Amino acid sequence: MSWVADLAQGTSGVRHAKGLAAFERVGFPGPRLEGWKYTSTRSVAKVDWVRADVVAAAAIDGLRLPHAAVELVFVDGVYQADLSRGLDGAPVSLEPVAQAELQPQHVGSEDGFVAINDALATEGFVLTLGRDQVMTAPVHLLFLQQGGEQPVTGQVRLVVKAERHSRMQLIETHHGGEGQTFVNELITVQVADGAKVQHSVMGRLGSGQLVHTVRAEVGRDATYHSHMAWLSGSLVRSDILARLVGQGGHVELDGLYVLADTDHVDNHTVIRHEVPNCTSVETYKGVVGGKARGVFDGMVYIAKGADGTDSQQNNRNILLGDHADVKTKPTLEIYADDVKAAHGATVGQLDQNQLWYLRARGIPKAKAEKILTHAFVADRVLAHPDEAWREVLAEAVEARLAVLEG
Amino acid sequence: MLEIKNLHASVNGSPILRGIDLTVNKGEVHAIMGPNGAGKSTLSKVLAGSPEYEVTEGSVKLDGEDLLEMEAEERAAAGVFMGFQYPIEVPGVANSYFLRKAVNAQRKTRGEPEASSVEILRAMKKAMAFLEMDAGFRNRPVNVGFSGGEKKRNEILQLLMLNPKLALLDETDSGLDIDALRVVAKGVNSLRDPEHAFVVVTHYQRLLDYIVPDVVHVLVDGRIVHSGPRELALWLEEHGYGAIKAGDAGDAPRLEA
Amino acid sequence: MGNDPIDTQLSSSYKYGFSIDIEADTFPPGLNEEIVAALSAKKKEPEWLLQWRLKAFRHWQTMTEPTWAHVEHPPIDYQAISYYSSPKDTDGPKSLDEVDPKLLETFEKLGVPLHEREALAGVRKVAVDAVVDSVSVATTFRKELEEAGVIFMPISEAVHAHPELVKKYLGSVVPIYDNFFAALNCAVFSDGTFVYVPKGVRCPMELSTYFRINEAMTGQFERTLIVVEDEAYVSYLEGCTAPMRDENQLHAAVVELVAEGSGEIKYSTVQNWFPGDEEGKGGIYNFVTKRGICKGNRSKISWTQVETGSAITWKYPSVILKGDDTVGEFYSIAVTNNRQQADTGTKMIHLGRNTTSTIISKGIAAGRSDQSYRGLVSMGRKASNARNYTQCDSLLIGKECGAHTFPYVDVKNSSAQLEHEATTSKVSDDQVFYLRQRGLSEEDAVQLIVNGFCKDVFRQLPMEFAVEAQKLLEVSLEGSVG
Repeated sequence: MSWVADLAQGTSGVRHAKGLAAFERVGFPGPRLEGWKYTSTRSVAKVDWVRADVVAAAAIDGLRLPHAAVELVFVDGVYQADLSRGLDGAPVSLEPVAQAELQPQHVGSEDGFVAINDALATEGFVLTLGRDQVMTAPVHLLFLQQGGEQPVTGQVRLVVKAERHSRMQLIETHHGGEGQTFVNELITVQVADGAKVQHSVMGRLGSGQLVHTVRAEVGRDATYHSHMAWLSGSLVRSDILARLVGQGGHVELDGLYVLADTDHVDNHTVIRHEVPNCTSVETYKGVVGGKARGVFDGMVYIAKGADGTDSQQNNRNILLGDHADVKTKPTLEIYADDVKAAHGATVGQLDQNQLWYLRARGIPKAKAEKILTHAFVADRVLAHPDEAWREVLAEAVEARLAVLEG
Repeated sequence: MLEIKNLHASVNGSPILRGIDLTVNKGEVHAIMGPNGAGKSTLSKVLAGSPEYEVTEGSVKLDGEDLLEMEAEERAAAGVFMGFQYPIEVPGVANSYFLRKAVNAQRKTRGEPEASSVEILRAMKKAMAFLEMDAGFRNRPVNVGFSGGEKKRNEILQLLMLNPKLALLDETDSGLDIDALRVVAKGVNSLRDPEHAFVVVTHYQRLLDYIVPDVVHVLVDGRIVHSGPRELALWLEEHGYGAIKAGDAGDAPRLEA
Repeated sequence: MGNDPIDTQLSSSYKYGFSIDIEADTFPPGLNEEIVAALSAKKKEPEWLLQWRLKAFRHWQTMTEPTWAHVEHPPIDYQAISYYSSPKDTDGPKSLDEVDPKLLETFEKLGVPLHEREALAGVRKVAVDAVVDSVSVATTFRKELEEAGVIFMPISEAVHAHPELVKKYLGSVVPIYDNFFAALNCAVFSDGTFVYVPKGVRCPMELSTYFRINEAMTGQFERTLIVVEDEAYVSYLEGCTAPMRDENQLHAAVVELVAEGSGEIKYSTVQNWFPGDEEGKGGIYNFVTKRGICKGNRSKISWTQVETGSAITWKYPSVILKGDDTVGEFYSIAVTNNRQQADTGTKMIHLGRNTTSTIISKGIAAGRSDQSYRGLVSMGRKASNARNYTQCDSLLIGKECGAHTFPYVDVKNSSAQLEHEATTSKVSDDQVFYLRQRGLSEEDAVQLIVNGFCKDVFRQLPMEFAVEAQKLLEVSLEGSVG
């Protein structure tokens, strides 16, 4: 019996039962699934995890974001009300909801981790920003995987609702250490008509493992902008499904991964154009060295009738050293006829002419490489509109690049 | 030759032309001027048969034939040529091949014998030299990577090769430097004779220094509100469209009744 | 399939005598070891080849049909297919004079000159091997080729005439275990073409094989093997046609190319198997495995294809770039109309240093067809300075079709460089209006745009084929506008 069934004992909701049944049908995703070709889930499947719980204290002081309006803290996937702040008087509300209200998300899909979340999550929250509310300061979701004596796991279940014409900035930071931990997060983002959600995620997970699943639904004239930065992690699976369901909607997915050591980051994104006249732009960039593996598997799906779609997708990679590898698979699936869609992917090394130019100006090779590598990733950092966040991110990226360059 | 009566046309249900009356005789050059958004470009596109527009009222006759009943390619074969404001790119199709196709397609529709490749190539070389075009343009794909001026010259090259009865030139002067303008005008003027007619749509009177019109019409809000001799263009340059738009042409030159 | 367990198969009577009349021109439908053995006996094959076929057949029985391709079709009943069909007598014609005039007429209709004198009248010489259903019926210019040292003959003959070469290379690029359809082909292939170009020889003419499926309810499983030695060159053209049928017919060919030393192979295909009618009835299922290996340093393999036919196409001509400084190319035009489905692309496997590959793929989808590009570019740990450029463009005509792009990229060497670009667009109304204003009909306008879109690939085709390919494009897009 797998640990999932073990941990499911003691749960009683309909959703739990459905989730467990679904999980028992599909199991842990394996290489036989197209979407999991490049990532092994053994390090999650073959461990006897125990549930994480509320903690007395956690070393989060250095991890807080001073400019955040609201800060919600999760340790090993469990919400820590005592460590959280800023909810009082904020335009945004956080409500724990009964299990029954959190519908099972595993609807006929093959996604084993969503099924696990359905089966095991015992708490869940709905974060709502009301109509016409504009929040300039971000809501910070601070996740720390600190672990304990036993391998611990936590299921995070969040629903984010940005009501009509509201504006919200959501920042998730995921921090890991050396403990054996696994967090399985399912975050559903509903962007109502005319609303705009800026959803940023930074992961520095060390030996921590994270499956991060986003299900976003974008209404009429609404914008969902996702900005992912993965800077370390022994196993990170970032799964995004963004559906454009109202005309004039816009989805922007920005991604950045700087990987060293034995990092493994698998970016799996799907943008579904389901109605006419929507736009999407996706740009992922990666620098992969050490013995790391970086994966980009991005699909743009344009449904029948979604005419007037304009979609661009791009993945660019720099591979450093001879032990790292990059798998990239930018795919287009198009059933509408009046569309403009372009995608591209590159894998390569630094531009040798640029490198030579810098060296000819007297910059030593190692330094020149560093400058160019930095420049390669810098534009993804700059793609983020929040200056305070850019500074935090730039520093973290810098630190990871330093590891990569030895 | 061309007789337009009470022509109304709309795009996506919103009316652009609201009753155009215009007669163009053989050998004449008519200029259509007017402020932005007056419907100048629409007029030439409707006459050329663009599927973008819907004709809701009125009639257009070309030498007595109902032009509005014809498909775009039938109008072309009947002798209507439109010089595009923004010539369209056709990747991978060489200019010379395209012209050969077009010339012979029109001849076929008219029931004339097709021209040989050699004949067409010879005519093309001559026309290109006349228009001061580099021979390399023969093999380049239609309009792809051409500068604005090159595209317009290419339109005039097609005009010379297809030799239509009626040429509609839609803002042919836009984006041209003075040298290109001179060459384009030279091309057009070389066709001027008692058999050809031209409708020149332009925003600026500059072009009319080179292609001197017999009549100038002012188009405002989808109607021709004033017509005058060549001098009208100069008057408009000085006074602008404001007064005419407001319905007061004042001392603007008019056609003698 | 799979009804007979292997042990029953092993104890069946084929060892002791054939229960099938091997004199028959067409085998009864069905597939088992007896059929495989009968096929081998019919061809008077050596024992090693029979064993090879049986090994493949036994393995095939353990395999399941792949389902990952973006195509849909009712399940294929492999027991309902006849695995051998000969158009004429058992020995095959010795010369053109012995060929059934009706067959010659068929080829004339296809525009394939089987008479040498007719071909000679042309500017260029093309040696032709014609394969009808499962059997090669005529190979032209053999004498002239023999003088040059080039071997060009049906593979069934090569098995006897050049056993050492066939044994060495058959299955060396596409092993019998490779995939479901390849394994099936290994078990039941009946004929095909063998080409061998010795060291230093540039084949003096284009070599061409025309495949035609004639009989109803037969599968065609031909096998092509082309080997060029160091400093040798050959350009090979493959043409395919099939008449209209109500039933779908299976075509599962295997093509293997081997470039030794600095040899070069240019392989061009114009595929016009019957695509089925407007409702998708009939048509060929074309499940083909094509693969080449650039074994020697500086060798080169180039695939060029124009595909307008077949109800379903499942095809990925590939190159394994094993030697250093080797070059792999793939130029493809795929047109689908009505109910056609195509899942096609290429694999470039870079193993050696300084290897280069280029992929240009142009897909045109019209009617209610569905088309996918599926490609893999893989650069191994040792593939230093490997380079790839990929461009795949799709053009959509109409509102009911689909075009998809699934490129897989796998890079393990940090000095490798890869660039992939893809676009999807439709034939724009502005373009069509512009061309119609110049006097072209709507159909001509679309054709002109399509031809322009495909030009990069047409340029790669030998002249005669380029003309044929353009005509095919026009025919297959007929009625797709308006």
